[in-house]
Amino acid sequence: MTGGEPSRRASRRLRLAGLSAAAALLALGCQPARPKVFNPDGLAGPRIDPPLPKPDFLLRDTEGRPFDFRKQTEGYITLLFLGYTHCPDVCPVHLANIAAALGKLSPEVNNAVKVVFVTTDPARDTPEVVRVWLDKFDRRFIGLVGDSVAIRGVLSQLRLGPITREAVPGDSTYYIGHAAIVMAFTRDNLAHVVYPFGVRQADWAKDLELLAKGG
Amino acid sequence: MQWWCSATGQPWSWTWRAYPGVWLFIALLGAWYWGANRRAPRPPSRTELAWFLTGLASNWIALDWPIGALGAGYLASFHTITYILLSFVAPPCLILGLSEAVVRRTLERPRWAWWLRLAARPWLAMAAFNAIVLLTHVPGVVDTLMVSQPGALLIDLAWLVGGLLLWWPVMAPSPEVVRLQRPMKMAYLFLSTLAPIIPSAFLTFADYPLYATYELAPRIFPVLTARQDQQVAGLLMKLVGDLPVWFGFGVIFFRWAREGERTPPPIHPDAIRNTPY
Repeated sequence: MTGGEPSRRASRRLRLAGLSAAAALLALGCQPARPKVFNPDGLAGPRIDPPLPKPDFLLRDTEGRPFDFRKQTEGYITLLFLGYTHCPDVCPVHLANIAAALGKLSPEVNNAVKVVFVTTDPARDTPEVVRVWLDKFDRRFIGLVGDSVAIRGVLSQLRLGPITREAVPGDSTYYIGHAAIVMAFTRDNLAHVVYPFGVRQADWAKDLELLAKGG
Repeated sequence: MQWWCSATGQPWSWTWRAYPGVWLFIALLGAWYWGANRRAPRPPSRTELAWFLTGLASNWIALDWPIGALGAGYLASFHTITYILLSFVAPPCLILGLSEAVVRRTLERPRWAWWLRLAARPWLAMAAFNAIVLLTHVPGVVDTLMVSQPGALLIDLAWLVGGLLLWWPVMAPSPEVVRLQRPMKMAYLFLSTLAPIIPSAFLTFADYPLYATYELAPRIFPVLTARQDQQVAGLLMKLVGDLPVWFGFGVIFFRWAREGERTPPPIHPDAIRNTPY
């Protein structure tokens, strides 16, 4: 064996390793982070077919005033989300992303959109608790509270499953199991599209602009 | 149980968690150092040992709970702290911990010698470091790799290897390996700070969060939005990440200046001719 043989072999191996690593990283870099749901309207959220009618319910807002959902959101793009303030993951991320996207959009789009949060945890979410929590995201977000019977009625109109209560291991508190979707009702009082958890701020911004323009 | 920190999507808890893979990795590094020094003709000096232990500690802090866990799946700013520790703090400490005897003994083995000399080629080392920095900050790469433990391990190892490559051409404790003169070492370090400007600028100035991993992670500090967290990451990357490089630059500069002071200036022939006897 010649003296240059090991170095030639090592050089070949280095080139191969380098090429493989570069190819693997480039391939990974080209993959989208999360699968996009196909929607013919170019929206990030999946389309619901047939569209869901806007529910008709009366709850109380965080000031204690009655809030007629159908009537008071008439003519607006309305994002409806049911969650709870002690939620450790989905709820704050959804609301933070919507707030961040709205913060980047024009006043016209902002004036065309109403975000309504309905608590699924009436035992802990008093109107004051909900208000303080929503204010961390956006003071314009509307918070609604009601007893469990009223909340069940809202869920039933939205064809969502019942809420569940799960004990936190090693703790006296509990989590609430609930649908993690935001429903987007357009001016025709129908939800053509819903937003599951995972929708990103850039997607929200693009979609809210399209929805506000009537797209 | 998780053996390496990765993004899980689970709510964050301040309760301590064990990551045995990190301990094993630190133990293997330590065992290699012990073994290499046992075979060397002289034991490491106290200073070398202290440097190596500091490097090990930096690795451990970067990879284990809480910094490693926060950086893997919750906050881009902590991901950047891990990057800084693994690329800019741990590698120079580990290299300073190597004695010349250990490196010389390693150079006696042809295959290792080839690798060590190859890694000391500045253009190659800089290209590899820059490629690693750029690729490991591509959103698709981060979001794909950080959700799995082998993927997160790959990113962490890439940063450590990239850091070792960056520092080796200027710090390797053997003149047989390091051929760069001091001004060239300074130029090399200066140029190495340029590539990270690209990801740090994107992180700092992007309108929206770049990484789904951190944008959709359960929030830990409600006052810190995903975008603010990303901006902190961008600023840390540029302002704090450059500090060790500039510190190294300063050390080389002052050593070079001192060396210049010690060397007597050349005498002009006229000065000799005009000197009265």
